[in-house]
Amino acid sequence: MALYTPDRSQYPAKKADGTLDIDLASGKYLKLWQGPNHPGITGNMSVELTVCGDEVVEGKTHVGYLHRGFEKLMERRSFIQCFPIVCRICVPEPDFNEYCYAAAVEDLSGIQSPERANWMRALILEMGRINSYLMYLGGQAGALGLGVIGQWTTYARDLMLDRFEEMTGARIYHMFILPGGVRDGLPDGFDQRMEETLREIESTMKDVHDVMFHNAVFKKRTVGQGVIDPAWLDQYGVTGPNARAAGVAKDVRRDQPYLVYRELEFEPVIGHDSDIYTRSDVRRRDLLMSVDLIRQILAKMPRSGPLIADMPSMLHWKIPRGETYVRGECSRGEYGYYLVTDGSGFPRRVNVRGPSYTHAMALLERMIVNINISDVAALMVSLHTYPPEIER
Amino acid sequence: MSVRDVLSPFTAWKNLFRDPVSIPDPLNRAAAPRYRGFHQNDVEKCIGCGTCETICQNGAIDMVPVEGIETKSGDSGLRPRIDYGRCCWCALCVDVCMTKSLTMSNAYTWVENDPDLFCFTPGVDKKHWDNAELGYHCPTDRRITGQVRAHMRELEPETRIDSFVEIVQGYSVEEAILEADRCVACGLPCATAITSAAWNCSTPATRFPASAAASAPTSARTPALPATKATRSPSAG
Repeated sequence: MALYTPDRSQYPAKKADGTLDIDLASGKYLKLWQGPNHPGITGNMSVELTVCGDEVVEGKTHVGYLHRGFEKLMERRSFIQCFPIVCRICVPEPDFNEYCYAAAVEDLSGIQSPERANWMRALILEMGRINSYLMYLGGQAGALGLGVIGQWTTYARDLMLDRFEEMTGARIYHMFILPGGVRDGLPDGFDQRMEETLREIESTMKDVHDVMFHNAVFKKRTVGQGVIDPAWLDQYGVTGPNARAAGVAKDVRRDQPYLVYRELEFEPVIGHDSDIYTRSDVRRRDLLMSVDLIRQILAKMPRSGPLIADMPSMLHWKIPRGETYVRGECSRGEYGYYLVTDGSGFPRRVNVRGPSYTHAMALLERMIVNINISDVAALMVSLHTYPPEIER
Repeated sequence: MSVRDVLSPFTAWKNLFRDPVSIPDPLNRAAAPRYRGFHQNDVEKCIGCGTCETICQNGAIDMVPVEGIETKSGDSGLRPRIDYGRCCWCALCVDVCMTKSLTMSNAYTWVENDPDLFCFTPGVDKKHWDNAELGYHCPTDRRITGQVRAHMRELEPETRIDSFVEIVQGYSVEEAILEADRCVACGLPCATAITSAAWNCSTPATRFPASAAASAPTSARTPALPATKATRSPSAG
C-alpha cells in the first residue's frame, strides 16, 4: 500500500477466463507463502501470495491445517455428546458454539431454557466477546510492530479468564451452556470480582487508546488502508464489526434479539471509513459496550430460579424430524448453526456458519490484491478471522 | 495526524513504575472451587454401572475389574479407568453418574515421566488429590438421565383391606415409557431395568391398547417431549 503505484503495466494481464496470466519463469513474479507458521498470520492457515516486487498481485487462502471434521463427528454422537465438541470450533470465543448448538437443539426439541439461564448465557457470551476483542487488539497492534499492546491485552484477558474459571470451571473451553440451560449459577462474590476486572479492563483500554489509537505509526499504516467497499457487504456476506465499520449497523443482537438482549440498552457501534483503523476502533468501542452490557446484565439478572429445564434422559434422547437455523452476534459477525434432525438420537446434519469463512476466504482474496507484502498481516488481522471456523 | 499522535505512545513508559502483574508462583496457584480437574471416585459408593463409559464421547473411560471389589448383586465389581490422553474434561461422566460417586477435584497439576501412568482408576490408584474437597460436583438437583421415578398407583388401604384385588395397579403406557426411559442399561438388576426390558421386549400390539393403536407411534420408544413442528423457519433462537 505504501508503495502502491497506479502504473498497472507491471501487473499480469487477465486471460479470457478471468484468471491472471502469471508467468513465473519470467522472473517478474514470485510465489511467497505467508503461513501456516508465521507471526503475521491469524492462526493455522496460510496465504499463497504472488508478488511483483513488493506488491501482491494475487492471493489465495489455504486452510486444512486444523481440519478435525467437527460437523461429521457430530453426526455419530448423541445430542449431549456433541456438546463438548462444539466449543473447539472457535478457541478464543467458544461460547457462541455452545449457545448456538444448544439453541438449535432446544428449538427442534421444543425445550425452553429458563429465564435465569438466558441471563447467564448472555453474560458468558459478552465475557467471551471481551476476551475475543482483547486478543484481536493485541494481534492487530502486533502485526504493525506494537508488541507491548499484546502484553497489556493478554493481562486483561487473563483476568477475564479467572472469572470464567470460577464461573464455569474452565478457562478456555468452558463447556457451560448445556442444551436446556446452563450448568450452574454465579459463585459467591462474583459481582464484586467482576466489577474489579471490568475496571482493570477499562484502565487497560485507556492505555491501549493512548498508545495504539493515538499513534503516528499505527495511523500512518492503517488510516485509508484495507477499505471494504460497502457494496461488497451483501455480495460477500460481510457481517459484524467489518460491516459496522463500513457504516452499516448490522448487529443480530439488535436486528433479531435473542436471549435477553431486548431488555438491555445498547446501540450498535458503527464507523464510516471502513479502513483498518476504523475496524480497530469499532472493536475497541464494542468491547467497552460489552463492559457496559455485563454491568447491565449483573444488575438485572434474577438470582434464583431454575438453571436448566426439565430434560428427558440424555442417553436416549431422540429429537423429532426437523431443521432449524439459529444465529447470534459474535465478535466477528453473525454466528449460525444449521441443524437437521431425522428423529434419531443423532444429528442428521450440522452446519456451522462461522463469519471467518466469508471474511478470510472470498473477501481477503479480493482485498489482498495491490497491497504491499508488509501490510498483508495487518489486513488479514483486521478482518478478525479464526481458522477453525473456516474448516469445521 | 497530530502532535498528540507522536507524543502519546510515550505514555507507555509509565509502566516502568508499576508493579509486575504476573503470578509470583504459578506452579502453586490454586484453581477455582468449581474447577474441572482430575477425577475422584468413591469406590465404595460406585456400583460399576458403566454409564460414565457410555456417555464419554472421547472413549476415555473403560470399566475394569479392581482387586478387592467383588461382583455382587447391584455391583458389577468394575470401576472406571480414565485415560487422560483422551479426556477433554467436559464432566459429562460426573453429570451422568448414577450414584454421584464420580466427581472432579480442582487439581490440575501432576507430573510423571511415564505416560502410561496417566491412565488410571480414580479412587483405586491413590493420587494426591483424592481427598481434595474443592472441584466440580454435579448439583444434586440436576440429572441428565431422566427425572425421578414415576410412582406406581396402589389401591387405597380402605379398599384393599377386605379385598383380593391386585393392590399394585401398574403403569399406564405413558408412565411406562417415562420409567423405561430412565434405564441406563447398566445390566444391574433394578425395578427400572425390569420395566425397560418389558417395554423393549413387547410388541407394538401389546404396547398400546387396540383403541389407541391408530394414534400411537409404532417406532421404538421415544422420550415424552413436547410436540414440535416438522420444519422450522430461520429464527433468532
